[in-house]
Amino acid sequence: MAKTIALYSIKGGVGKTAATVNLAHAAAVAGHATLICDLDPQGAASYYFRVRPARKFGRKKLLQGGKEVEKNIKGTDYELLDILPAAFSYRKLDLSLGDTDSRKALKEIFRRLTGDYDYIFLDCPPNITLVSENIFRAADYVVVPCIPTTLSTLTLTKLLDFFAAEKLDRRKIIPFFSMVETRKRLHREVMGELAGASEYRFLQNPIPYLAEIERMGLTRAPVAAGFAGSPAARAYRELWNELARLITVG
Amino acid sequence: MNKLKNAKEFLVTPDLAPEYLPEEMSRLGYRVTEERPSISKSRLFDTFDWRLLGSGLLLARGRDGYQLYGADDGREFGRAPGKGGGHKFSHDFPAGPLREALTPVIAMRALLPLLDLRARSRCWEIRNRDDKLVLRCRWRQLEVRRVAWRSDPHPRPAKGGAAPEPLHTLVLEPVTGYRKPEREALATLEPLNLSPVSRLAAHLYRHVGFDLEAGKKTVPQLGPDWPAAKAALEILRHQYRVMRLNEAGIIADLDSEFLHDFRVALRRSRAAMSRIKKVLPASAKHFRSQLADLARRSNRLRDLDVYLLQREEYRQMLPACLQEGLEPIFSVLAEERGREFKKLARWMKGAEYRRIMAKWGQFLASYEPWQAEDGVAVPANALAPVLPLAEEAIAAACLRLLEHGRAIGPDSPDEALHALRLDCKKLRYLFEFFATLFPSEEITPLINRTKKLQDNLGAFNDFFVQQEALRHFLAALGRGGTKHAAGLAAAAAAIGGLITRLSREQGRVRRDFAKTFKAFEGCGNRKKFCPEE
Repeated sequence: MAKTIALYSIKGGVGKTAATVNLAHAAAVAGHATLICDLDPQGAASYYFRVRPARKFGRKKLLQGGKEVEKNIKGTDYELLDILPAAFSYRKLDLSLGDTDSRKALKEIFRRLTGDYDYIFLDCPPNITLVSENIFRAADYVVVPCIPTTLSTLTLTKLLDFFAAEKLDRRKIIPFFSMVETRKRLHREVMGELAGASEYRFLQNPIPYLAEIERMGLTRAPVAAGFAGSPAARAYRELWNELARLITVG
Repeated sequence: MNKLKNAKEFLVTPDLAPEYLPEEMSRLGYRVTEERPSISKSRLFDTFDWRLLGSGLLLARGRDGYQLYGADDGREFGRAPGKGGGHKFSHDFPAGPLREALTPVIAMRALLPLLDLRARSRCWEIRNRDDKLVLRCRWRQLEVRRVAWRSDPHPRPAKGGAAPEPLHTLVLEPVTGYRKPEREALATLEPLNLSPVSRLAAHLYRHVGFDLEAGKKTVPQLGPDWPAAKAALEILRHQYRVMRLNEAGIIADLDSEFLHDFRVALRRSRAAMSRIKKVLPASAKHFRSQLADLARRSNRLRDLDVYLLQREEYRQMLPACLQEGLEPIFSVLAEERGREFKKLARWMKGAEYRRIMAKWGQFLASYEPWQAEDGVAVPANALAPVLPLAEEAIAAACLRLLEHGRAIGPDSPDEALHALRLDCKKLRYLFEFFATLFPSEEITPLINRTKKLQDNLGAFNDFFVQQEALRHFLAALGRGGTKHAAGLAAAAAAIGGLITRLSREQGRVRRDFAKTFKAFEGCGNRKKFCPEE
């Protein structure tokens, strides 16, 4: 049975898609059959892998599940790593999910896929919507990138409150520090404050702010595909190792 | 081998330019780039009876140690480190997915090094307008060579020592979700009329001269109107081939299965001679006693092999506190096995054994009663058609089994069941020899019923024999002096524990007998082969 890992942030621009792409790539390199489901209508993850969705694929096919989803999965350029590309019509996914019984619709869809993969990564759209709520129920883990600023901490607290209010399992939430600039005093202070705080359970390995990660939009490849020894590749690999250990221990 | 699912591999002639397909794809508008060529070397392993290949598996040892693949799709089942030899049995591998997948398939058989493969590979990436990889194509040159080693049990290839010609293949590795480029590549290749290789490993093994059918345990197909002597000879020749095939492996002590298969063939030969009556000349009689002698010489070794193979099973029968008591017993058994093996191997390498086998082989090759000149007497049944003889023999054996079986009640002595086991075995041999003469749907259900009955009786006998052996062992321990009093007590306790378990199991099997026999007796097809008026 595959473990489902959602990469999620209420805020945009925090390195969420970069984390999805690079963590999934690290999982595949480590020998695990891995699938990325690009659920963000912007389709950035699909773009990084140079994959376009089939013209006929969209939110309706996604919600039909089963074969309709399976036949739209595409192989990336990397062994063991597949992707279900995003469709622009996902922007209206909320409308399709709009009846009361729909909070577990996505969970059912991903359940069908778990036999074929070891890990399924979900690249989620930002904001708290019916889609994200579905994702919180479908995912085994919700990994949250946080830039170490006061505002980021606030949104993380909001997310934890939302989980509590909706009676979701708060232990699913695993935050990590993203786009960290150690030369900035604020980043250092916030990290120093939060790293040990038991209510947040931050991962130990941060992802630094690196031009190499920004350049992914040009190279259109995971950072480790270019040079596996680069600082960015190493940072994601170490983050993945820590996350994988956490997942295996349970 | 290929690591991608759905990869298609084709055999190509050496004159096909490796660049042909990439160039054609480029003409179709794809961006084509060649990757760095690669060379990989690996050594392939399998058991003597090709168990891995038969289960669609492939074990290769390369630079990174051992890898177990699916033979068709190249899916990896597991890896294990290991450079040199020393991995003969599945339990020689470290615990992990490789060993888990390997163990149920090869069981007690040894892995033999078979061929060395050197694959030179050129690979092209085919990309679409987004520069997305949509297909890989690979041209491979495969140099294969049979592994030469001293105790190789396989028959030497007829061709002699020249290295076989290299093979060439073309591999298409599609990328999930991109079917069109693959279709286009296949259309390009279509005029070349290439033959797909679904099981490359089997192809490679044959290419270096291995006979994948040689060890097959299937019985020869007989014709219903054959003279009985011809049928008997067909059966005996097959068993003779099996015996000869297993000799080298017995003498090299590769695994216990060589001797087992040898002995099964030996028993079948003897059974064929006694079950198919009056087809061999009186001059062939002495072969029967020689084969019986051959069986006797290996009885003890086979018994010891079985005990040693059951080591883990015996341990599991005992509570943990008694398990250690078994170890000295098994080391004594292992020592005795060593002595028994040396004795048998020496004899099999000797002149007497070779003479017996040569004479037996000559007889089987030359006996042709249907060519007998006028006036030369042939055995009474030799020229009679085999089908009626087979029907008659099966009906008679079946009837005897029914009569004896019906006489057995809950209070019958153990001996009655042992006798019935022999009746059952005789019937099984007839089925083994003659099954191909009858429609499968008629005889198979009856064979299965008989097999179940024989399994029941066999288990009853095994439990009995094992208890006997343990009692003997206990007696021998007592006579062995009191040097290791503590070890002795532990061993005695372990034996006691085992006998208790075995006798309980024997009782259970005994209670199942009535039901199993009833199922045999009531089998509709049984009445067809053995009508009772």
